[in-house]
Amino acid sequence: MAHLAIDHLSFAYAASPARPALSDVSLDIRQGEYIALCGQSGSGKTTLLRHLKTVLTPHGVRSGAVLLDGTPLDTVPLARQSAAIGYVMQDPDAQIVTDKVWHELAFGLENLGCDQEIMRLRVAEMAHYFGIQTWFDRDVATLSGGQKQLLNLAAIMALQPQVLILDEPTSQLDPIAAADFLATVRRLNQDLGTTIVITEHRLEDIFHAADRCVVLQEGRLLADDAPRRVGAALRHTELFAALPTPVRIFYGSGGSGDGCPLTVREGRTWLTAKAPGGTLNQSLPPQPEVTGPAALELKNVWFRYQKGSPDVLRGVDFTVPKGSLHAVLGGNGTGKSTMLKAICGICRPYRGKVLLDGTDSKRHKDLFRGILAMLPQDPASLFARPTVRQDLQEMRAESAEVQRVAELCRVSHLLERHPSDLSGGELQRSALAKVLLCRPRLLLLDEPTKGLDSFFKEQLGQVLRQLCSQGITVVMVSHDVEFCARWAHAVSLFFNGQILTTHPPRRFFARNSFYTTAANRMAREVFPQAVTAEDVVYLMKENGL
Amino acid sequence: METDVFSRAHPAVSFAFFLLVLLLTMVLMHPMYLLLSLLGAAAYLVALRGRQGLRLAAAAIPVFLVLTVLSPLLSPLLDPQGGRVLLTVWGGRYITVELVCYGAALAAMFTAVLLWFFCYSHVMTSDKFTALFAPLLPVVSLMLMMVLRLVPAYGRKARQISAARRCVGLGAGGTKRDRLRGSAATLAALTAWALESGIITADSMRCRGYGAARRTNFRRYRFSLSDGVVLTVLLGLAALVAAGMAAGYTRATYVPAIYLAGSNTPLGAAALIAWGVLLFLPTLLYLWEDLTWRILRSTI
Repeated sequence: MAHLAIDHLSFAYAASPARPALSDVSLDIRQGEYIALCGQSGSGKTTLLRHLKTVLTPHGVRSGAVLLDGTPLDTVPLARQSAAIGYVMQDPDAQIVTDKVWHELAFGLENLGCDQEIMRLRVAEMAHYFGIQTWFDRDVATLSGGQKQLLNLAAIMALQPQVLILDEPTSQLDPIAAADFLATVRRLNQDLGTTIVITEHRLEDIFHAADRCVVLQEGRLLADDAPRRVGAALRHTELFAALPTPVRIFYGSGGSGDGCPLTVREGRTWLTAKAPGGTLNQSLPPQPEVTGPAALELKNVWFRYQKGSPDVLRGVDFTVPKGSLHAVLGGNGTGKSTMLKAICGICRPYRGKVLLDGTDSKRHKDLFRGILAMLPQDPASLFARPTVRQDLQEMRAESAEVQRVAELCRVSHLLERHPSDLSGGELQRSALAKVLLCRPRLLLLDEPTKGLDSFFKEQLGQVLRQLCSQGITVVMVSHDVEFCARWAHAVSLFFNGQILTTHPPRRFFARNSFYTTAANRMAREVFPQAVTAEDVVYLMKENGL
Repeated sequence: METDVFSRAHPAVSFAFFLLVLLLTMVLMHPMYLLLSLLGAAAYLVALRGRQGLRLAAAAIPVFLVLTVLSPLLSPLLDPQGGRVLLTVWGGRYITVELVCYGAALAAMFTAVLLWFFCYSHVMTSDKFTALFAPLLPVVSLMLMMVLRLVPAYGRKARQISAARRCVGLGAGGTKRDRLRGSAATLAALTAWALESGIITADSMRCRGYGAARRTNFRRYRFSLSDGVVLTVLLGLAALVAAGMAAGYTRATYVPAIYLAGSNTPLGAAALIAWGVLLFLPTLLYLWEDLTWRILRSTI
């Protein structure tokens, strides 16, 4: 008998009864399984996950049932359900209830009326397992995003759940914290046999760990199979772009059967075995390069936040030609975002110059009128009105201009919606529209792909390229190696307050061994110049592999 | 953070101490008692915060002087103003020796309370306070703690929103009307965010069984034997002071005539000594610990 069973579940939100969010979904989850739930934004993933927890179940018209160990879930007492099923949400901050780390760990146990003895033991156990001892006494406000999300997980694990449900838990985290978090989830599954049901944009990090991959499309179950086989079913859907690089290369080059590689290591073995000895054709279609007068130039820029504090920018030299899409990669806290602030004059460098179109930025009167604009990390911060249109009009643009920019950013159909009803990708593009209403010649983006799924990333990339072709220069700071490799004209590495190197993506990534794309890591022995899955597939076809 | 012995004690002990000291400081107007309270607060502040504490204690001196000068000027409402006239101000209003003494006593009381509150905020952190009252008022203390977390969180978010708005040139600068409109928009965005994250927090609470059973409280602090001993000593000393007070040994009046009770009987002396020991108890514990460590280290 299945541990958790979803039996012919159909559901429509009360607001739109004609459009079911879930139709006839059946799924059996066995004890200890690791299930990756995939699907585009709006495919019903979150709706399905929320049905696995009675207190979160949305209101609407429902048929079918969810069973926990054979009992309908809504008849299982709340206390038992709270302990048996743990639920981790997206937002690391809002999920935290209390102000101290130790108290957060104890919160669930307090709610269930645990006695002191058990409570102390469980809290100590969790602090130990998750490596929280060193920050056990801290205020939650002092934690990083990754630590907060680990704390949320630990606070739930203190209740000893049998099933753990995670709804895009790493969408707000940087890649290193995200990988760390997902590794912990995998360890819980392996060490404790906790059943895992997870949705995630970063399939690369969970695909190989999953026992089964369940795919939803428009509320229907599209596929339910082992990760090695599920790619075949998705071959011709939009979801294919979300699959891990080795899987895309396998199917992209016409592979079939059970031999699909899931990790870089497997992919490398598979590709090396396919490639014959001897020389291979290595020529790739050329990438567009942009040369021209500099739209932005930083000359020996130094900055620190306070007189006594260490320098954040230590002599940045940086040149961006007009009309190019320039990506800056680098670790957390290296000063990338500070560089953007220095460019738009929010931080004043104490030494060095920032030249915009050859003129010192200090000479420009109002930078944000027609010269530059910056898209902040958290796009929701830019929205305050009941509709997107009103928010865009705040920029004092004529309605024709609003319409033009909305079309460019592909948000015309969203103009009458409330900003908080938009998905992450829609909100990001609406924010981009608002930023573009400053009519900037230089556009600065801070982590534009954070929390976006592959479909929205593709759209964002196309929009950015389109802007470049109109002569707008785009500088983006990012952690997203794959996105930069696919879309940027040039990539720079930022480290220790300086720009170290700048190269076109192929040269940049082919030289690095760690800071590079999965496709490059997988194919570097056979095709050293290939940095995207498309490159690898192209070269495989050229060489008849 | 919690460096001294007294700060590591059970919150009930710390709370009882501050409650007793503050209440007694406020009712005892006798100069000897006030002086002791001032010195005790200053000493403990230095023990707690070192150099910074010393600076705070030193800053109390001008506060005391200013209050002493101001309070007789501000209290001409008292009808019998004492006999010994120092000077006349504002058309026939007398400043008398009695009034100045009374002002000094009030200023000393105020300064001592201020210094004790500095100590209090260092020792009784918000989590100790909630830990202490959670068993009595479970819902109120949970709410208090959530509010304590949310207030700075709102501040941070408001700064983040206005930083984001500055990135598109909506923010600093412009006419007064523009700025007002900008603040209104920031507030609207903040409200939207607060509502949304409030919903998530509520979901997160219910997910972890809030309301599913009768709540218990995770007790971080155990009430140990030494806590019991210290608490008993505290209460005993306070009782002695109270006995002295009841017998009139702490009486002090300033207007219309100065009268200070003497402490030359056994009970009077005992009350004064008890008061001193009570006030210096945390400092003495601190010094004692310091000493034991030194001895321990010297024997290695």
